[in-house]
Amino acid sequence: MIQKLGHKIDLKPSRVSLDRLSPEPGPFAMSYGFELAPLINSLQNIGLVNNPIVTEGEGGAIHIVTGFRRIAAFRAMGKESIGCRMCIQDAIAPPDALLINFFDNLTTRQFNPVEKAMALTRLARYFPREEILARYMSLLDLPLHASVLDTYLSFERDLDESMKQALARGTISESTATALLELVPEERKVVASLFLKLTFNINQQKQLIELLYDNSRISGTSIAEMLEAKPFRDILATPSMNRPQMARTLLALFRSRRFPRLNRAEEVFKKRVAKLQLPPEARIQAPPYFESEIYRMEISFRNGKDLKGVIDHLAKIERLRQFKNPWEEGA
Amino acid sequence: MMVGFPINRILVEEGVEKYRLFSRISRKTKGIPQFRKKESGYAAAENPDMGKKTLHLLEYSGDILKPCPGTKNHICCGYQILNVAMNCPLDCSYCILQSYFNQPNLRVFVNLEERLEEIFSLIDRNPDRIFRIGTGEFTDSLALDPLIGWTDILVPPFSNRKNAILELKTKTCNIKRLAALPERKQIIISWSLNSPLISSREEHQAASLRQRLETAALCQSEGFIVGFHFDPLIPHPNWRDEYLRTLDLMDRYIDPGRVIWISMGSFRFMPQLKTVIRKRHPHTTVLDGEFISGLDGKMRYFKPIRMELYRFMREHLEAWYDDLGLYLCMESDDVWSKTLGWSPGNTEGLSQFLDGRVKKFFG
Repeated sequence: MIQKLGHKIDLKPSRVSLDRLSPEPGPFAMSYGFELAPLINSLQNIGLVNNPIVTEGEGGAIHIVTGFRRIAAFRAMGKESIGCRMCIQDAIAPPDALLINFFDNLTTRQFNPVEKAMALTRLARYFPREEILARYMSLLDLPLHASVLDTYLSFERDLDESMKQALARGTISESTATALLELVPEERKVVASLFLKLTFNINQQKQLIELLYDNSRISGTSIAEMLEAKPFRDILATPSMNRPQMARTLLALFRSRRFPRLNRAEEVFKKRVAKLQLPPEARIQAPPYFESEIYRMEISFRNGKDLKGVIDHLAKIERLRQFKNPWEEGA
Repeated sequence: MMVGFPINRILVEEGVEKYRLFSRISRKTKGIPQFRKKESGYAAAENPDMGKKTLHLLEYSGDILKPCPGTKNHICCGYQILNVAMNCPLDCSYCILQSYFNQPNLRVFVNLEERLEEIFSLIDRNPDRIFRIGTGEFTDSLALDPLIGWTDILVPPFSNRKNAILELKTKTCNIKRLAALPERKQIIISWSLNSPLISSREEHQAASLRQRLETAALCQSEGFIVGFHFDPLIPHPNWRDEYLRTLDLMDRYIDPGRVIWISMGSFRFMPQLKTVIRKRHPHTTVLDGEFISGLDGKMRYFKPIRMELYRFMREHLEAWYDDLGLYLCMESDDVWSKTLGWSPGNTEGLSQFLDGRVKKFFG
């Protein structure tokens, strides 16, 4: 028997055939993207310590209130049935079943972003928005902002299976998923598949979405068309590049299109520095985006004699006098 | 209603009924429903409207006069903002106010008259200092003037002081109340200008460029000193020809000898504004430029692009008239030197330059 929200819920031990339990989480469970192996190992060694709670819904369907993972593990182990605790008919209202699952999980584990989205979506079926914001967001370690709630509801509603898996695994971050949601569904799919194909870090993912979005808008070409074009296909077909290299090259390609003048300035700067033929111990760094007037020269040396040698070398490089901003005529 | 900006409800905060300005606004807005706190109509306006049709009347207890929020590493004009309201009924796609304030509605401070004494006492205590004060930073200075009557409140006392000017910045033609007043001294009416393309596509609800310049000409003929602000300059296809069209219009309507200053600034914004603009103005092109993260953390055009804009504008403005009081808004010393051919060096230097313009025009 469990006591919840001021009333008792009677539970009856019951053996339930796994055929009667859906492999999907159903209306109350909020588990996604988990590893079964550790749980199977535990079940094989010490058996089922805590029996799942199930309830009978309309038409005789059995819904899982708690223990979705345990049931999935039993199924993976080839079992035919599992010992459950069955709520007696009509004894448990759906919002109560949902809260039992929510708090049961909350006390034992961290939710991944997809699970947070599942939890909020299910809570939104039964509780007003204000209550979700005030009471449940903080329990999920989320800021109490309506926009954050909307984003998570959108994760559950609008992300397809492959994107949800990537989000649950951490292959894409919440901010990447949020940025993906700003794209139309077809483009979202194309970009997400790129993230699964190549190796982008989280920062690169955000940059790429931003670059693709902007380039697409400015050129009037869809993201899908841009990703089918030759330069992009050439990168993917370069056998000498590994996946992170391909990702970096791809970013550079779209960055050069988005920022043609900055890109040109960076190239001119590199060429001009190369022409200076600096000693290997010295290098010139441009200010970020050439915004400040101040360039830096870095000299590596072991001792004063080394340093003097490098300085003497630099003093003889006449071209240094003509060194200018890359957009200005000069050496 | 003649205001031109449809107000469909008025929110009234507690304790504001005692102010004269509240009573005047209430008389002017008869027929528009008013809501007090706890009444159902009081709820915040939903995005993306940002409450542009909601007049929100409240007291302001913060600093009513504050220095322009200049940013580090850039030269600021040393202008002081008289905080009469927050948010604007115009809906320019590039407007920084979209992310600057986190509160919706056209928030008008009805205790303005009661707070003015603080400002004038400060001005009067510092007779050797020139106060360049404006109301056009957090709202349009004249858009709501037909309803609020800011000019009736502010123009007479400013006009009486030799060491202060009031600059009313606008993109509207709402000068009727202002022109009906007898005062002209120490008052500057200035218009934000842009290329015809940017103006028509991105400055929603604003008067057309021609209307603005016709109104500026009317103000000049009525004895007012005017100013102009090319801010934000936005490069776009054919931008040189487009900006020249604006300069042609200026030449047609404006007496350049009675222009106190013309500022130039290129489009810059805090990074978070980008998402807001995309959501609120999905068809805008103002985000298409090559923006980099500036020294102050704001997004700005890559420096040579900014310099190209300023050089071009300077060349053509100075060809029109060589004493326009040209200055740059929020630019660095090197950009000043390389585009305008001189630099005030720092904020104090620019303040002195602009104070000098005030003395030249108002004595």
